[in-house]
Amino acid sequence: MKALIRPWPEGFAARPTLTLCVNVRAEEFMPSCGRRGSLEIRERLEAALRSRGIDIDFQTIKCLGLCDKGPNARLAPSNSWFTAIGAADVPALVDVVESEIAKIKGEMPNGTHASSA
Amino acid sequence: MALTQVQPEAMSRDEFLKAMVSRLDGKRHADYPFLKAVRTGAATREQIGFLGVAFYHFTKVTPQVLSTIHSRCDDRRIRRRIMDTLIDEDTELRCGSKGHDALAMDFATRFTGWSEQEVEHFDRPRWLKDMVDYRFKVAREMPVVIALGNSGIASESHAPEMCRLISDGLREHYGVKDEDQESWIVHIEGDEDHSETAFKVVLDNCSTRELQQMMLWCIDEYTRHWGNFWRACEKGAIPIKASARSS
Repeated sequence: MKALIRPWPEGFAARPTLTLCVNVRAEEFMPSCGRRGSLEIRERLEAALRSRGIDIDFQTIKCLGLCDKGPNARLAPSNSWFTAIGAADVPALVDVVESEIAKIKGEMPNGTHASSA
Repeated sequence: MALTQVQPEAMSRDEFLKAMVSRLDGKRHADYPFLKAVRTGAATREQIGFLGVAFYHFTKVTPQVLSTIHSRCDDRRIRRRIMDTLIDEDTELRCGSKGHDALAMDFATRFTGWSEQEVEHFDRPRWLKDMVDYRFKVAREMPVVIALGNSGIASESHAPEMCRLISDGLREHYGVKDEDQESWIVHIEGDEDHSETAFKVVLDNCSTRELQQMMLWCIDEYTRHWGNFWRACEKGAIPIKASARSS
């Protein structure tokens, strides 16, 4: 999994959102996150976020626009991206999300960039 | 006595790049107050509905604009890049679960509650027709490299920030789920590549002063049309129906 972490914008009012692409394209020869395992990732991710009590709005979408790099997820409104996620990466992904949430709460400094999990 | 006309020298690659970028200053999508109003929740739903419908009518001609340029392009490598962009724009095969016109239609119908027929038959204002006419005119009549730059530099190079502002505003202030605004989200990172390609093609091929001046003219002209678009969204409003999918 690759992660591009951007700082949170100042003063946003809503809960942060983690959006996972679950698109399954009919054409097997074209890239799609669903065909690369994101349906299994969704199940694991939902369970992990819930069990760890992470305060985030978890959503799915049918395309995030980076199909060649998938499976992909996006954290908003920081516009942070996770690409090439594997099912085995879910714990690491949740760790990153949890640390990002801590930044909003002021428990960690904002502004970390481009880490690889 | 023979008179010789001296052609002005072309700008260097760096000078030309700086000239193009400086022409965009203050005229990027994100510079317009309407975008800030959407991001901060100050825009009305009726204004955003207007944006959705107008953006559909802008987006739906993009494949034909691109294929016009493609048909006039002699360079196989450049044609291949145009084809890649065309696949993104006009199909569900990559960068979007549907063609981008269909995604724009989804946003317009879901946000406003209007039917597809109502969105399709929206009476396009003069400025929108002029913008579409301008796009086709450049695609049909200007040198191919300029037509590519017109799309990739004058418009798409600053579209990711526009889409991010709109998407974040919609999610935070208007209760729009990401699945209902794929039209904006696919462009946040997906257009970076198109823009980079356009800058490279333009810098590699605009080697005369005349071509460079044409490119700068297009940046001025297309950003002027976009200015009309954003100012019209500020003034525009369409009724939102109860069936709209946002809270």
